[in-house]
Amino acid sequence: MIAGLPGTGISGLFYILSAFWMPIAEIVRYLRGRKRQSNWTLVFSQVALAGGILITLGATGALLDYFISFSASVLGIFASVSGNKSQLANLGVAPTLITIGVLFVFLFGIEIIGVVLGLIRFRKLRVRIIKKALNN
Amino acid sequence: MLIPCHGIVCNIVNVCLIEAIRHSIYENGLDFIINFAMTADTGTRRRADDQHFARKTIGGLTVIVPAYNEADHIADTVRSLQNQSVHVEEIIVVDDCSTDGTGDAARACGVTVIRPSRNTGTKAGAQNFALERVRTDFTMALDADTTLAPNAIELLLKAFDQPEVAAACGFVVPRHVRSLWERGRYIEYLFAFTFYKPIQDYYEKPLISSGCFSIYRTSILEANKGWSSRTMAEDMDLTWSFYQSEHSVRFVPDAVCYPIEPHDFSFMRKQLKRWSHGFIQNVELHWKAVLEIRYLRTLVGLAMLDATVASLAFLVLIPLLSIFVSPLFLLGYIIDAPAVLVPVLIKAYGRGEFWRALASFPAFLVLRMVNAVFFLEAFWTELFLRQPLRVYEKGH
Repeated sequence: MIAGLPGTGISGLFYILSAFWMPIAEIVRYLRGRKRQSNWTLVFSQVALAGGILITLGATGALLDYFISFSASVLGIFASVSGNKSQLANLGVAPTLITIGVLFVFLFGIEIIGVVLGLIRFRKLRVRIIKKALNN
Repeated sequence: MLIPCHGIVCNIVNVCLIEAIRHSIYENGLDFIINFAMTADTGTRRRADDQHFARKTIGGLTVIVPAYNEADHIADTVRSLQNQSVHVEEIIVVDDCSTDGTGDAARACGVTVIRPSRNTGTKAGAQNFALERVRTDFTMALDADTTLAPNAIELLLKAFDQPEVAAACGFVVPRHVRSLWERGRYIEYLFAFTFYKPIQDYYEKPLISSGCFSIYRTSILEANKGWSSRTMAEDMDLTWSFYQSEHSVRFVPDAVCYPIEPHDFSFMRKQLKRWSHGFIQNVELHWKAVLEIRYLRTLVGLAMLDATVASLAFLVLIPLLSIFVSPLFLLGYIIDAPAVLVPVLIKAYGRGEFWRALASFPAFLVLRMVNAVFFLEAFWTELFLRQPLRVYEKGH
């Protein structure tokens, strides 16, 4: 979510994955000889936030499941939904799977476009260099 | 590695080898080859560089404050600048033909006030008007209704420890958290600046160096011809332009600023309209270049996708599903609320504002629905009707 724009779903998942990737990125940067100062505090705090978000989402799903089952058995509401377990499960699982699917298709697609554009740029650069060398 | 011979063929091969190495270093991040040999005692050198840097930059900063009818707020802004822990060379208030005595109020605080012959029409225009006068190494842009924590500038200047850093921005917290709109924005900022922006900074691509409070390296800013008014979000435009010229941008979470956010729907409407249109205008303007910048392309693409999908889900899909399938789909409006609350409440607790954040949370749910309406309107008018927003309406 950017302030002023809606949406915490697909990009939210991406930022959670980015946070979990940070320790690996930090180790890689260390091995490569970083430019910037080491920042394990930031890495751990963002990983902890991402973990907290995932745990909270899981707990929310479990509570909703319990709430709907309880409502159906005691109060008699949402009985049609809770009676059909597959529909109930779909309420939480299907959007999550769709979000993950869309994210990975998007990431794959945009990386492919990036690589293609990079290759085109490299080809143009090579032609320019050869022309420059020929002129010299 | 280079071929020690003469002639055109060898010349071509050698030049290609050099360029290939440079390209591989740039593209694949193999700068460790160079850095490994050069940074034997990085810690000591960095501390020495910091000390040298601190001596060099204190006094090297000019602050530009664009102001249009800000007589009520300008004195607070100037005072917060005068009370900074580092010396500011010059504070320039651009009185953009205000009619409420903004210029006099600023002059009474003892700062430089300049006034163009006629209203420049945009914040970018007002800032560029002052940029011509800047002679310092660093230039800061600060909104006229924004105050700073006393050490904000000092902390932000430390981000310029590498020559490629073109801009740095800080953490934004609304100064007043009273109305529905201010409360919604308060949660948005706490969430975005606590969870998203530090991750963006870690991967060296903060999406925006916020226009309300950012410091720029003057030479790079001038090389970019200052702030452009070709879009409604000049800060986003400038940030993405910096990335295209292979400069970097930093986010410093400890450098805090306090803008006044829109307190009613009238102001909020203007701001959201400008931001939504500005985002789409920037995507339209920069998409080719952004696609070549790793990580930024993902951030921008996901923001666009997410904003579109979420807007359609909030305004179309969820109502339809809840009517025709099950009322349980209404939970879609709040299903992610606990996840948003995690970073928000942790940050708010650290600031001693836990209960304020908790009480403000419902306002966030309202604000994001309103965001969805404005985003879809901008998406439709900019991309399909081809009617770009060109009139800059001030909305704080």
